[in-house]
Amino acid sequence: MNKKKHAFHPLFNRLFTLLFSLITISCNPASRQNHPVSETDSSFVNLTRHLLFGSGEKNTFKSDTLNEAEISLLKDGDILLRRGYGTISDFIARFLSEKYPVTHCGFIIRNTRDGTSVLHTISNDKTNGMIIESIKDYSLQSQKGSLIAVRPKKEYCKPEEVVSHAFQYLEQNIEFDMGFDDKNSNTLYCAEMMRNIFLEVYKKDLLPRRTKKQSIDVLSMDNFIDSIYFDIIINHFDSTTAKQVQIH
Amino acid sequence: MDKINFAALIFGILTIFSCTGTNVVGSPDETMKGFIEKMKIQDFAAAKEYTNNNTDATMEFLDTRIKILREMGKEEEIASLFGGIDFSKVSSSCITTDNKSVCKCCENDTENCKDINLVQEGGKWLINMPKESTVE
Repeated sequence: MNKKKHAFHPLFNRLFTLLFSLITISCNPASRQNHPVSETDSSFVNLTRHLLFGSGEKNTFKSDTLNEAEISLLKDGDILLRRGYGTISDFIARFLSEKYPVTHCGFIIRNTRDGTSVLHTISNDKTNGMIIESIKDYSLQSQKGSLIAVRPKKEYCKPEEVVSHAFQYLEQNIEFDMGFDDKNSNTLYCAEMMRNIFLEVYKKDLLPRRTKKQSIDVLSMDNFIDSIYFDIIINHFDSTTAKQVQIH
Repeated sequence: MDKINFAALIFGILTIFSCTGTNVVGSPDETMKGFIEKMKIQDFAAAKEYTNNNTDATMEFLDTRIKILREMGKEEEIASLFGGIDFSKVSSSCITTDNKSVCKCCENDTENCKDINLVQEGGKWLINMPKESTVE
């Protein structure tokens, strides 16, 4: 009887260890750092229907804003995320299907002629490419309750260099990448521009996760929410600011 | 005398052309009709005939995707991305003011409708569908 019991234990222990390891890996967000590529999703979006008839949702054009206290929390090189208005923005939000459906991002630049500004690349009725505009104008194009501000973690925080690189991109007058192809840098979409700058400054990809489906392969916007690389300063989706959080 | 007549003829032609306004070819309704037809046959490269520079890249994006999927033989994905629309039940109507037009494009089955903006560029009515719409 005892012999049988001893023969069973090692196998059971190995199975238990394997199972425990799998559970630990799947529950640990840090494990995603080792396998950052390719999140697939079965929720397909019909592009033609979306372009011709929209999503069926009514846009009510209510803008979001940051108050003075929130703006005072921001530093050079912080990233301001928003959900914009428009067909392609709506498509991006539906395609990514993320917890916080942001569709656009820009770098915070303090102490400009307009006070605090945002440097980003955009395609809209007025601009096609890199632009710097006041935080008020940037916020005006955001849907109500959709602004999120994040800051790279302390070990990835070289704001002067990041801002300097962003201004170089602005001077190069690179057009917006409506093909959302981040394999080449002739044109840039907003997250692609940021990913490139992070690679240049930190020699590390801070936006490794991608969303792939229906032959479309783009950088996931929820990279910016990942606590491995970023701290959330302001989140209007959850109506929180970072005052409770220890931010460097 | 011949030179004077020739000069008068040229002057007359120029005068006529200068008095006919902006010389826009076609109408917003015609542009929409042409655009919808190209979407129906899934010829997104040809659809650029009806879109402005802000929108051309979107069409190129669609064109690239469908070509990739065709090469891979992924008919199901093509259908899910671009198909499944009964174009006999698609309607559009445009309201034009000055040099801008808004065309309401509807899928009658689902009653989903979208306002599509058209602008005058290069003497044509072209669809303007950038990544973001601006809020004034």
